[in-house]
Parts: sequence; structure tokens; C-alpha cells
Amino acid sequence: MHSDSFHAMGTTVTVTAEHAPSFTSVRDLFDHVEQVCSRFLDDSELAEVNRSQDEAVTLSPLLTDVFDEASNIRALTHGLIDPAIGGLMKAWGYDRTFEDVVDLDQAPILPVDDSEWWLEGCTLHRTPGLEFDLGGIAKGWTADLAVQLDLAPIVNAGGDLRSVREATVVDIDDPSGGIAASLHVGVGALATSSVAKRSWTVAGRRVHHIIDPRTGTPATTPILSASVIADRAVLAEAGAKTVLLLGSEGLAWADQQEWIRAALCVWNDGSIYATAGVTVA
Amino acid sequence: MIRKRFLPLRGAKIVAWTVAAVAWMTAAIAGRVTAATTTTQTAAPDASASVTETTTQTTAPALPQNGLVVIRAGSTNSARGVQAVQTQPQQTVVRRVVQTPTVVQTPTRQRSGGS
Repeated sequence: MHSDSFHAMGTTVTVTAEHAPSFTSVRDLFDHVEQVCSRFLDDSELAEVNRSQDEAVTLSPLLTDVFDEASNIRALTHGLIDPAIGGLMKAWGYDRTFEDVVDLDQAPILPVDDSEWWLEGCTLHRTPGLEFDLGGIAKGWTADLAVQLDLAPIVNAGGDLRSVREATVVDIDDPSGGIAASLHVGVGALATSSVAKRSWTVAGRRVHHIIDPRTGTPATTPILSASVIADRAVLAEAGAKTVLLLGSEGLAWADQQEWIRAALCVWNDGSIYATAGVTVA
Repeated sequence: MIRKRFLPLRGAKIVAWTVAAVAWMTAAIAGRVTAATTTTQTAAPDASASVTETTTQTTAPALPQNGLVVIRAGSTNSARGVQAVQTQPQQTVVRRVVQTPTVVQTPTRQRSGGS
């Protein structure tokens, strides 16, 4: 097995495969999905949707699939993971690829949250002006697709990982440094969401990129990072972010979800807790 | 009679002194934690520490129905610059011995640090 990495979707994608041609195929797939789903590329389809003020927009098959997945995830997470936070992300200053995000002097005026969206076939209906961010979903979704298409047995998109190898073990980074735990994932997926990554300053206060749609502000949580194991990377990513947003109730919630195999949290006092489904390697 | 009246008083005094002693020790420990925190923040502010401005001071997670695995019960608050009460994990946690899975393939090690 060999591994190779490339940069896509604002993160490092690592592909583990038997043969080198797999790397190129996976890279092409990520480039293609990014070209459709990125809100930072001016000529992407999503950027066009975000610019449009139309109530109904016809989507390409690929973007329809991603929005369909987003709709499914919104239901599974009781609305906590919703791509319709594009406007909020922008308001907090995350309006460009993260490497170029700059500190803001003043706290943002948050958009009024009376918006809604739904999918009808390949038509997206939304409150005019509502903007979307598919960043979190697209990475896991593409990693899943790459593995499902048999392009590679393991694809790790910035920590959102999908594997079809029984022996796959994942080292979870400790936000304080080192490894928090090594988990057996096997055939399945794992993703980690962390408030210690992607942070900047707004009005002198440190903020991070995980926006709580209930408040419109960066999440306030005792969890520094949350990892979830599920069947698919896109679900694991949504699960991890939800656990983080739910804070002290996160693990109890994860334990009750049939689509989540296990969850692990690094607490802000350095403790590491997990649900009973976890298998430490 | 005298003995019966004396014993409750004595018991009350013991309780009162115990409560006072515990309160004093708690205050002393809290003072040390605060001092350590202040020192750390002054000496070495870093990005990860300041991010924790948005974290809350919750003792431990709510107990999942199928039990909670404590992989590490530690407190690095002062080191991370977080002003938090030192906490212990819940007493009702389920400690679980986890077996390493039987591996038939060469283990493939990946890494996940969050996005």
C-alpha cells in the first residue's frame, strides 16, 4: 500500500492505494467536486447559486446529489448541520479560503434567521438571498464517492476518512499535541471536528469556524475536538460536528443514533471520553 | 440527660468544622488554579488557548445510555490557559476494557485531527 497527498478543498487529501494511477483519479474527482461545490471559487456552480437572488434554482446532477445529502443530514442532526450558514460564515469573516481570512475589528451584524430551503427534484428552493456553505459536507461526500467508485481503498480528506480495509486504524490528534487515541475503524469512516483549527480574531475575541445555527455565532462548547465513526465519511463529519455543537450532551446524543457507531471527545480539561461503541487499537 | 444533650451539640460542631475545613481547602485550591492560569496566559499565549474563550466550563459529558468510556481522565486546564474548575469524571462512568481487534491485514494507519 502506498500513500500520496494533494491539496484540495482547502485541506490535504491523502490517498492510500495499491497503485499510483488511483492517486490521479482521486485528485481529478476532488478537483471536479470542488469546482462545483466551492463557495470561494467565483466560477463554481455554488458561487453562482449564492450570487443569484432567485427563489428557485436548477442544479446540476452533482450539486443536486450534494444538496440531497445535505438535506438528509439536516434531518438527522435536527437542523444543527445545515449548509444554509453561508451568510453567517461570511458575516464572521470566513468569506474566502481560510488561508486568506483576516481578523475583523468589529463584531458582525448577523443576518436575520427566517430563511428556509428545500430540494424538489433538481430544483433548489430557498429564501432569496440565502447563501450556502458545502465545505464540511463536500469533503466527506467526495471521499465516500472515491472509495465507492473503487478509485482507492482509503481516502482521508483533512481527517474525514473513508476506508474499505478491515485493518484501518486512525490516530486521533490531541488538540494539545500528540495523539489522543488510536481507534480501529476498519470498513467504515471517521471524521474529526475541532474548535482548535481554523480560528481568527473578531473584535479582539478568538473565534473558530464551527458556527452554531441556533445562535449564529461560533459554537460555545466544552469539547475541543469530537470524532465520530460511521458508515460513510459525510455522516461521520456531520456527526462529529453535531457532538461538538451539543457539548456536554453530545456523546449521549451520539450513543442514541443508529447511524453513529462510536464517538470520542477531547474535553477542555484534557479528559478523553468515548461512547461504548469505540474500539481502541 | 446531659449526655443526650451533649452528643448532638458535639456532632453539630464536628460537622460545622468539617464544612469549614473543606470550604477553606476548596478556596485554596481554586486560588492556586487561578494563579497558575494567569501565569500561563501571560507567559505563553497561543492560538489553541485563546480559542478556548468560547468553551464552557462543564464538568463532564452527560452519561450515554450504553455507558461512557473514559480513555483519559486528566486536567490540563492551567496548562491550556482555561479558567475552569478542576473536575473529576463522573462517578457513574462505565470503565471498559477494550480488546484489540483481530487483524488479518497489515494495519493501515491514518490520522484525523479535525477540520
